[in-house]
Amino acid sequence: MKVTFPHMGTMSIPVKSMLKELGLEVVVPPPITKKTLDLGVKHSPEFACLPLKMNVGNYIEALEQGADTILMGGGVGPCRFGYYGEVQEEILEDLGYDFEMIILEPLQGDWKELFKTIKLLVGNIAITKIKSAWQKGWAKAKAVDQLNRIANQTRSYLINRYRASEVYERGLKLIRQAETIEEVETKVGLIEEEFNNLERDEDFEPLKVGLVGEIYVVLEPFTNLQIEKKLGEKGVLVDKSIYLTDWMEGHLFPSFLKRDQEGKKVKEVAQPYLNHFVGGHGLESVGETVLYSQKGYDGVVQLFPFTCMPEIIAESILPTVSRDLNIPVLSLTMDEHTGEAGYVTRLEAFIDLLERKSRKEKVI
Amino acid sequence: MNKRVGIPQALFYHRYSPAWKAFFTELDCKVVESGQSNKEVIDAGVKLAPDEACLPVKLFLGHVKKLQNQVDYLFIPRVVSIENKEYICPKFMGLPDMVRYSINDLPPIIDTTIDLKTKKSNLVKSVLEVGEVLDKGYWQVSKACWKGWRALKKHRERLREAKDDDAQYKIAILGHEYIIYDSHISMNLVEKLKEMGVEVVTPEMLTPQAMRVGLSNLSKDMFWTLGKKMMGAAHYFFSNQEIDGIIQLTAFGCGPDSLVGEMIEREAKKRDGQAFMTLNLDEHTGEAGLVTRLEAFVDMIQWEGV
Repeated sequence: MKVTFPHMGTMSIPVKSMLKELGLEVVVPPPITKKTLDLGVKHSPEFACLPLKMNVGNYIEALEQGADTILMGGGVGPCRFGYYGEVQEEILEDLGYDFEMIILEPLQGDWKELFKTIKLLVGNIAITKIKSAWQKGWAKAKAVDQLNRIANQTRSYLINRYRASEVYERGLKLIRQAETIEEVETKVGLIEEEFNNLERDEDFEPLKVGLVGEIYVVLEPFTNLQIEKKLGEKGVLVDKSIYLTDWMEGHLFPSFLKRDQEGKKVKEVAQPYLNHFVGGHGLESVGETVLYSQKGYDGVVQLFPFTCMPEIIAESILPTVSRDLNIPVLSLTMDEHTGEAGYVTRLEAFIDLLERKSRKEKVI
Repeated sequence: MNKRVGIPQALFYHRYSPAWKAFFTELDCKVVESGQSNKEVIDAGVKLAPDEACLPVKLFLGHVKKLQNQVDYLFIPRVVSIENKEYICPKFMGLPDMVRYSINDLPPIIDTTIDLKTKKSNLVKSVLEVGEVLDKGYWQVSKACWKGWRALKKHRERLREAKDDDAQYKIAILGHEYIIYDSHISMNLVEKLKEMGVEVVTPEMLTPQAMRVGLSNLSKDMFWTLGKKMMGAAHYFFSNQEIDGIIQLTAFGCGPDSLVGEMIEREAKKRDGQAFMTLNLDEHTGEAGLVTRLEAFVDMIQWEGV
């Protein structure tokens, strides 16, 4: 059995080592390229959201490399993600691929189901083995998120901003190769130090922009056209409201393990504008925007795939939030037709707007 | 004076209007409907909604705009779920908020949450909430609810009885009620087919038993009530020899349709004996083009002699 799974940002690093630890042979899909996107677009429903298309591209490329089992997340609605697996399976079967698809449904208070799925994947296996695999995967997930955070926090202050991405990429590579949890921790420390040693302009006061929106587009640099890097290199401090580990803590852990105070707060501050969860990250997008304004950020960028249902609700509410709290919000829809030049122009215009606004406020 | 309650004639209006009308009338309210969709309504909606919103939501906003100055209350419930463990679509869950922040100076919105995900009896709670807003007592509200339910039941029975024995062919139409029964967006598709001598069957005309038969063919459960109904109806039509052709109507930008429609289309391609066509409707769809496609579709059924 050769297992594969879709890409989402740096997710492949923890997932790969977790599956390997479980004793599985893993085929990581080739890094996402234009070809991946084209393959996905060609074979997916026209109006499906972008992540579904990207997943299909990943699967096809992985299946061509010999994978025969696909691991995918499931869901119970109302966002379309919960039905991705079924549709993707159908698409690939119609294309004539021979494979098995294993869909991990979220825990609904039923551990038995989860164990059944795990058994399907790895056969009879000691619980301790599962635990150690999870711990290793989790350590790596935490590590890559931390590196990402440091890179975003540091980049705009650097004299040579391009160095940040170099160090970050090297860090990812080190974590990918790390064999043990201890090694992961040392490597994180190493890279953190390297970041600290980069030459920076201490007096620089960057504009601060928060990223909100749909998780896939926010986390996957290919689909968001490397927005963190682009903004950062223009001297903007970028903060992502979603990280993979935060999301997992919020959604996959049973409630007694949750340290999810942040989640409650997001709901609370979103309440005057949106009083009900709407699937996906719609509610979070509204709440996080309010939080960013409270934290003194200069602006917010909302990213989501074309036709994303929860984010469209947020999009229609955000202009009011923006007006009430005096924080500019830029909503960007991404799909396979998004052109880089137009995208950059919009980001630049947004930064100019923020700059002028902050200068004016300082004078007053 | 009786309070005027405005009901936008879009989305779930097409499913629940008999119940809603009976309910509010019984509560001594004057029900004001926004009327049939037309070009102005759509244009107003397109202007108000975010570009990415789906056609039905844009249309809904247009209807609200039309009612804006004519009523004391707007009835826009937050419909989260109408079946156990299922949802409608995220946009129904955020609809009152979308309306509130897209149109200025609206009358108060009755945005009661209807969430029957865990238990059906939650409906009673929602209904009483509406009564509270309108300042009506428990008994009057209960009675109104009962009347509403009866009206809905009767309406559905009437739908199922509609039959046309002279028709030469039988074509099934798959799609949301708020598209099929909105004569402007669907461009009178049902009437047009009838004029061509075709009997039209919609998912609403299926009996619960027929629906169950259709649903039993589904390999996996689905969490969208409307999508599930469409899948169930599709499978029932596939296995029903009397149906000569199936037309699937989808709305531009509809999220669930993009996946459910695809699954149905893929299933249809695997079968023969029935003609199948998908029409994606948006605010730009031209009537002439639609008629041509319908004629071609009916011609095809004739020639194939299926």
